[in-house]
This record gives sequence, structure tokens and C-alpha cells, in this order.
Amino acid sequence: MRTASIFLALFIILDGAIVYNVQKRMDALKSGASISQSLPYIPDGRYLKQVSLGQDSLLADLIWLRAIQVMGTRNITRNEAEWLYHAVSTATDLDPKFYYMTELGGIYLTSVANSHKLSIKLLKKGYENNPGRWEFPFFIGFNYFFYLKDFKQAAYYMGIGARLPGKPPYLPFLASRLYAQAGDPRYGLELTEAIYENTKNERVRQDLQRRMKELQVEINLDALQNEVNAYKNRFGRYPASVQELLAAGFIKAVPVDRLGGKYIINPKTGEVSNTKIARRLRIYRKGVIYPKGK
Amino acid sequence: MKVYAIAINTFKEVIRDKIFYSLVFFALLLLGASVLLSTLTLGERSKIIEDLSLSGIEIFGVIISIFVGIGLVNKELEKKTIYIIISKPIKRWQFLLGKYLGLSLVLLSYVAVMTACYMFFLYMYTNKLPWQTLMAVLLIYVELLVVTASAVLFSTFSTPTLSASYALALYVIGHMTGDLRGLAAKTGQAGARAVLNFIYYFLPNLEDFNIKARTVHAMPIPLDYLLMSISYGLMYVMAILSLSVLIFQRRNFK
Repeated sequence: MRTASIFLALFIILDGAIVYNVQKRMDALKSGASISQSLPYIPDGRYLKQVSLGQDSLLADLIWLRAIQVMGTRNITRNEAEWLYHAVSTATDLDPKFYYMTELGGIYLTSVANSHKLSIKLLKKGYENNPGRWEFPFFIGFNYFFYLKDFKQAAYYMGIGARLPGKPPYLPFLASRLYAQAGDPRYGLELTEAIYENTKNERVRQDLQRRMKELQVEINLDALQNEVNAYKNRFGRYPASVQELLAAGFIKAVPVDRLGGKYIINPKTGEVSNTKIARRLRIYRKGVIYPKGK
Repeated sequence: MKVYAIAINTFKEVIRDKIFYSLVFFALLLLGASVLLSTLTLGERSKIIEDLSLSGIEIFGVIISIFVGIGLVNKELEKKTIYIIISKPIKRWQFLLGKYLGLSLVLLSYVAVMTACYMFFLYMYTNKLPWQTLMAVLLIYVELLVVTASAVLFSTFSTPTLSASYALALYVIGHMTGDLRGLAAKTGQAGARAVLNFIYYFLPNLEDFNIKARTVHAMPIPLDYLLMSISYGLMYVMAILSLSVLIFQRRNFK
């Protein structure tokens, strides 16, 4: 009886070793089908939620874990990007408050997978589910600005983000800067004023005040530039100074610069500039997006 | 010879069982439904019938393996017939092996009947016989053998209800162990990788037996893959049964 048991136990160990080796060989045979290449089919999140028996949050985690495995691959194909969008979007449906996942999915889609439209779609979904999170409009705006070069949309979304709690202090400045670049400094001024009203921190208020003045200069510069161009159309040359514009009746008064600078016109190129502000409010592709603003 | 007698007896016993008949009835119903369902599709009618039939054969086979498998030992205990058997000159391993082989025989006839029906339906409606799906059926049978063995193992030390849950859980886990291996490959910690790999090789990998989709799409199945998965299944069954015998030998019947 005892020897039989020992014999049986030995047999199990031996047999287990064989099972192990066979499985190893089969895995080798099956290799090539790595985890990222076998993108599992994921049904629509709305239906999945109904059949998840209340385990929707866990299901979202599982899909997310699977998606992360795909994110680990270096060269992501268009197909994989679309699968990834679908996976994260489904997981978002299952667990709408899992905002970190949606956010990271959105960032990944745009920065690694080069799928900006999908990224925006996903981030918008995340924002709908989490209207209080500034990150979503921020990254949507970033997508529009950096990849799609749609400054108006970028400014619009950055503006939404700038009004939300918890936003980083530079966001309002970035948004107003974007409005300036998009040719809408007026919106930028409105936005900055709105944020100024809601800000208590004195240091930030000072910065905002300065930014409002800069935006006013920007609005004036735009207006003057229009008149200079009209002047050129009528007289065939650029005016040499703002006073010349005034004398010709193009403007009713010389705009007062609250920053204490003067508006000057380059008679050769017709470019209007301000003596106090060396460069106009612009965000450059290279260099820092964070506005120095001082 | 004693094993053979018990096996034949078990076979007769299960074949007469009402549960077995109702399960086969539902499985056949599913096969019929696959024909109905296939009328909804555009083109590729045979694919719907093949998919639904193969899955139906497997799922109902698993249900039979588990629910009849756990009853093999437990029924004898409940009805106290085990006393009559073990008082005879029969070793316990012979008893267990006989029971297992009996049920395997039942499953074999079940799979054979179902496959014949499925082939018949398919021939009636599409006028072709997909011989390559027989390979999938073969591996389904091997998978059923593994599931039955696990049901027998659990029933040697646990109550019927718990055994059924364990066996069902093992079936589900067995189809997901591939993820463990993927996880082991991704993890950076050597300790975690060793643990994950151990679990992966320890649990039965039932996905090895899943070539349904490949045969339905008439993709080639390498012969060595087929042989290896069959031997994997049989070896695994032997290990489980040996463990069951080890446990069953120590069991006291009150």
C-alpha cells in the first residue's frame, strides 16, 4: 500500500515533467502569435455592461490590462490603434469614472500611435463622463494645436480646461496665448477676464492682469495692422507712424498702451509693433509651450 | 478485466441516466438551431452551422463530463453501494479507473452521435462534408477527457456541488492560462515570473485543444501539433487520475 503510493507519487512527478515539456514544445510551435498580435474581439460596451452581472468595473480593468499589453509594442499598426481605441472606449463605457485609463489611452493614441482623431474622440468621451477634469480638454486642445494645427479649436478646449478646478496655473495663460495665435485675441481677453474674476491668489491675479494688458495690445496691434493695410491700398505705401494714420483719418485716436509702450510702424514692411512687447503672443512649435509672459 | 467490468457497468448506468438524455436532447436541439440560425446570414452558411455545432458539442460535452463525472464516485457513496464494491477483491484504483473509462466511453459515443448528426445537417444544407473539422472534434474529445478527469479528482475529496464548481472553474481557467504566460513574459521580476510560469504549466492549457476556428476556415493543422496536443491531454489525464487514486486510497468510508 505504502510503496504503491510512493510509486504513484513518483509517477505523477514524472508524468508532470512530460506534460511540462510537451506544453513547452507546443508553445514553441504556436509562437509568433504573441499577445499583441492576437487582438481579442471585444463587444460593444453597452451590451457588455448588461451581461457583466455587476462586475463592469472589473471587466473594465481586465480590458484595460489587455490594452496595456498592446501599448507595450513599439511599432503600432493602424489596425492595432483602432483596436486600442475600441478597447479603451469599451472599458470607458464599463467604468466611466476610470478617467486615468481614458486619459492615458488618449495620450498614447496621439503620441505613439499617431491617431489624433481617435485620440480626440476618446478624450471627448472621457470629458463627457468626467466633466470636472481639466486634463481632458487640455489634451484635446493639445491635439488640435500640436498635431492638427487647428488653433481655434485648440484655444476653445484649452479655454474649457482653464476654467476647471485643479488646472495647472499656466493653463489660462496658454489658452489666452492660443486665442491670440488663432487670431482671436478678443476671446482670449474674455477668457482671461473670466478667470481673473475667479482667482483669489494675488500673485496669479497680477500675472493675469499683465496678460490682459498684453492681450489688449494684441487686439490693438491687430486693429492697427488692418488700418495700415488699408492705408497701403489707398496710398500705395505704408504709413511711417501711427500719427500719419490718424491724420489720414483711418483711426479716431492713438490707442493708449496700458503697459506704457508705443505703437510703431515699420515703413518698409508695414509691420505694426509695440515698443514694450518685443514679441507678440505666439506659441512656437519648437521651444517651451509654457508661456514666459514676463 | 475488473476495470473493464466496472467500465462497462458505468457505461450502461450513465446511458440509462435521465440527465444524460436531457443533455443530449438539448445538444441536438442546438444543432438543429444552428441550421435555423444559418438562414439569417448572408453567404458562408456552413460557417455558422460549423461554429455553432462544434461549440455546442464542446459545451454540452463539458456539462456532461462535469455533472456525470462528479456523480461517478458520489452516487456510490450516497447509495452505500460502495461497500459492496470495495468488499469485493477489487483495488480502489481499479474501481476509479473503471469508472473513468466508463464515462469516457459514454462521451465517445456522445461525440460520435453528435458529430454524425452535425455532418448530416451540414450535408443536407450545404452539400459538402468538412472532413477537416473532424480534427477539431477529436481534440474536443481529448479536452473532455481532461475535464472528466478533473471532475473525478475533485469528487474524490469534495462534495458534489463543490466538485462541480471546481471543475467548471478549472475549465474556464484552462482556457485563459495563455494570459498568464503573456504576463510572465512581460513582468520584470524574476520571482513573479517563476510563479506565473509555474501556474501556467501546472494548470491544464485547454486552449491547446481549441482548433475549431482554424478547421472551420480550413487552415492547415500540422500533424505534430495534433499529436502533441493529444499526448499532452492523455499525459495530463494520467497525472490527474494518479493523484485521484492517491487521494481515494486514503479516504475512509463512513
